[in-house]
Amino acid sequence: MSDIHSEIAAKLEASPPDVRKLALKALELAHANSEATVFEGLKNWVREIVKAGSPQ
Amino acid sequence: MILEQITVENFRQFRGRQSLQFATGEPGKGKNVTVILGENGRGKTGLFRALMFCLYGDCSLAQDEDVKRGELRLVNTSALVDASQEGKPVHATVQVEFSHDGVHYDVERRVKALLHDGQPLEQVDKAELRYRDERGNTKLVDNPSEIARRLNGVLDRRVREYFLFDGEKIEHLTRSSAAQRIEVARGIRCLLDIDDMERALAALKKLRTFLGDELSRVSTGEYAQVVARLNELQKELDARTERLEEIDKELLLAEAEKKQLDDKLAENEGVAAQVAERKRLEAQRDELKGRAGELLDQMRDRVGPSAVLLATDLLERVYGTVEDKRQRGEIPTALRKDLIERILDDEVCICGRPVKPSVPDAFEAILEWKNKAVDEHIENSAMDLWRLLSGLLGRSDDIRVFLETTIQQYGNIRNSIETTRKSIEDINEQIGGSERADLSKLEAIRQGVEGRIVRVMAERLVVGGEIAERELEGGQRKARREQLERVEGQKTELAERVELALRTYEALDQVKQEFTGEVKTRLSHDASEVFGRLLDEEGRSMLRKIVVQDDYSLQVLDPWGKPFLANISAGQRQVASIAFILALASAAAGGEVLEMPLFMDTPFGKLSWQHRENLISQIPGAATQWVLLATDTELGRREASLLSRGGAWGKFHVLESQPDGSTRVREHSVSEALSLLRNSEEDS
Amino acid sequence: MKQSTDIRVRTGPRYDQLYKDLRPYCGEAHAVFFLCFCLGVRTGRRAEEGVRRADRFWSGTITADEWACFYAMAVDQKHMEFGALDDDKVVVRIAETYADGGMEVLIDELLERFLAKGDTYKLDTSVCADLSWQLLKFIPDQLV
Repeated sequence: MSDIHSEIAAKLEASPPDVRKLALKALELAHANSEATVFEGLKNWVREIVKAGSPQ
Repeated sequence: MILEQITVENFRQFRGRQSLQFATGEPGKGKNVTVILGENGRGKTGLFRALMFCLYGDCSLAQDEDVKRGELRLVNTSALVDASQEGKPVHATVQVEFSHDGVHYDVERRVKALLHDGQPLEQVDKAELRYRDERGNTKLVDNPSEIARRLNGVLDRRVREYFLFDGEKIEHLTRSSAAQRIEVARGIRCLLDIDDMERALAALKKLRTFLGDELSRVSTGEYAQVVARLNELQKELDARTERLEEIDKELLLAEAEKKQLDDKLAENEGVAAQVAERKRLEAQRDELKGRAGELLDQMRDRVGPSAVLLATDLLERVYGTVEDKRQRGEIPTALRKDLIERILDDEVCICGRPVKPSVPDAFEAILEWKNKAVDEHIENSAMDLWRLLSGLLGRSDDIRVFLETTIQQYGNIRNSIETTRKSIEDINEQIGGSERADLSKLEAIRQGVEGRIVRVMAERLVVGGEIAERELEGGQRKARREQLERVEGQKTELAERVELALRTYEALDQVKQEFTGEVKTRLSHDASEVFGRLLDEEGRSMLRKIVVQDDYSLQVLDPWGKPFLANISAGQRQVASIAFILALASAAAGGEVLEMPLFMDTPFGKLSWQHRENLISQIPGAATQWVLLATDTELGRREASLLSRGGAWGKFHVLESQPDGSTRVREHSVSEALSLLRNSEEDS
Repeated sequence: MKQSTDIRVRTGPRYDQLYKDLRPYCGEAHAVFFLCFCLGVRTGRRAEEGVRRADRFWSGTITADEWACFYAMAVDQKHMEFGALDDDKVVVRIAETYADGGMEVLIDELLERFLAKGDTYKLDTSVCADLSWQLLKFIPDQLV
């Protein structure tokens, strides 16, 4: 039911870009994976997002 | 899921191999209504059982809860007897063909049975699922758990009751036990795909804790302490929040258990009256406790303001002094101090008279004014104080009256609670002291459950308090951490990750709350709308809304917004359930029609003609497929004629009784229906 | 009479836990403080000035009615000198002594039976179900 996913994505529009990225990534991973797999995946993603967001 | 065909062989009343096709037209355009007509005992429920058994391996239905497992047979009795005379076993088979999302499925389940020492022994010995994959190849699955997984993917077991239901027991939806509500809520969340969000949230929560611990390990000084304490607080909060959820579930289950025990006790004439009285008293006690709780909250907010009565002497004294000065004109002074000082400096009064030591009268008079005068701002403060005290003293009578009234009110309620408690205790002893051992045993169990409820509710209060305490401290610590980060001038990359994980969790949690709130509101709204269309006039005057509660159970409100579910008729209850199901199906399909059959076994039994008429006109357009099993008292010519005029009626089967007691399915054309059916009596 | 918001109101450190524990029954810290202050005023029980006290809450949470009583006491203390209304810090310090005194009264005359066993003052929440009522009743009882 991708309808619901797009509804959720719309609700996240108001959030800051880094929060939005991480949240959508979490949802995407959760769609087809177990909680443990999502957690492992997010460990890397959160690092990437923070690195990308910090001033060089 | 669109049902195409069901084939039964030696299953329940159905002897030999028989098939039945379902109407599969497009809703609103084609014919999607299948009617299966049969007297009671002819096998309508047997077909429903066949469907449940084949799809989910269910060997019993909700209505069988009073029947012992061993007594329920799936295999046709006469086939079993005949076969055992030849020393052979019999196989009862059900095969269901359906399509879902464009894929064709074929499920078959088989029970093997034989008579052993005159006793029937049954065992499921085959379960197969065939489906066509994307390339058009047929795949076979014969592992029962894999079959269950695939079929749950089509229609989750936990919500099947919503789409495939038995009209006699539809009440389960609105009168379901606590344990069922919890299960169903989970199933609905799954249907609406909230599961993904919950998994994402759980992972984010874990991430937040993990990163928090990492940060704590690498930090130093006060920052490390604050971070460590925050992590600790978070873990403590998580544990307590989980405990609170567990407690709520425990309470639900305990209440349900208590109700069951009460029902059992009530079956005994000897104690029925006392059980009823106890129920009434407990309800009274709970209501009184509720009022007491509200009063306590009010009193908590009044303790501070009421304390002023203790300081009345002081206030009156000070007020009196200021008032005296006011009366004497000392405050506010007729002549301001700065003006007096100017007069003395200039040595001339405003009237022109000289003011100097050599003119003693005037000089001394002015000096006296100066001694009494105060600075302007102090004078203003004194006047402000006078005003404040005046107001406060003016209100003290009201405060006193409110205090006395509230204290007395609470005292009365407390006494009433105590009296009620004693009466309940007396009844407990009476029932518990019953000569019948089974009754006193039941009563002992019941009191144990009640004791558990009391303990758990007390724990709930404590845990709630601990959560509030930690949230308060958490807020303070966060503020300190932010302060330290500002002083430090920068945040480490790890701290940023922690922050991001936390903010993301909070944002997604917020979205989830909003989303589920909106879904429930939408469900309530849509269900209420359908409800309005399905109800007859009398119903519409008494019942205004359906509300989906937090645990996804239903409540029906009267025009004044008061809960009314307990008072509605069984027929109205069914209509409410149907309205909810249609709303749920619509929500799950994003406002479209959900590809799911509504399979209703005798839904009309308790419904008035108006209700039937409304259902017949509304449902074919609202569901992909409607399979209606009915007796001929439920479905007469009037109903058939209305169905036929709707244009959606595609298939008509009659379950005919055979001389050997079994049932044969015979298909008829829809046009024959009117001649086969009799005039049903109109409901009043 | 500025009713300053930036003064840290302090109370005796041994009442730390009690102020927290009384929240569900008496409200925010300023309300507890005020109750104790009024008790101190009523009974004349007053703690010493100048002793070490712990930060409890910001003066910004004090209500207008409470300020009125603190100011009244300050003026009363200074023999009706309205100059006492000028310095909120002094007003608060005076109120603190009465609040600490009043807390001792509250403990002695009411809270004793609601306290948990131990060295520090801490409520035994299992017996505090209707403590709000007990507190409210305590007020008219003191007036007799």
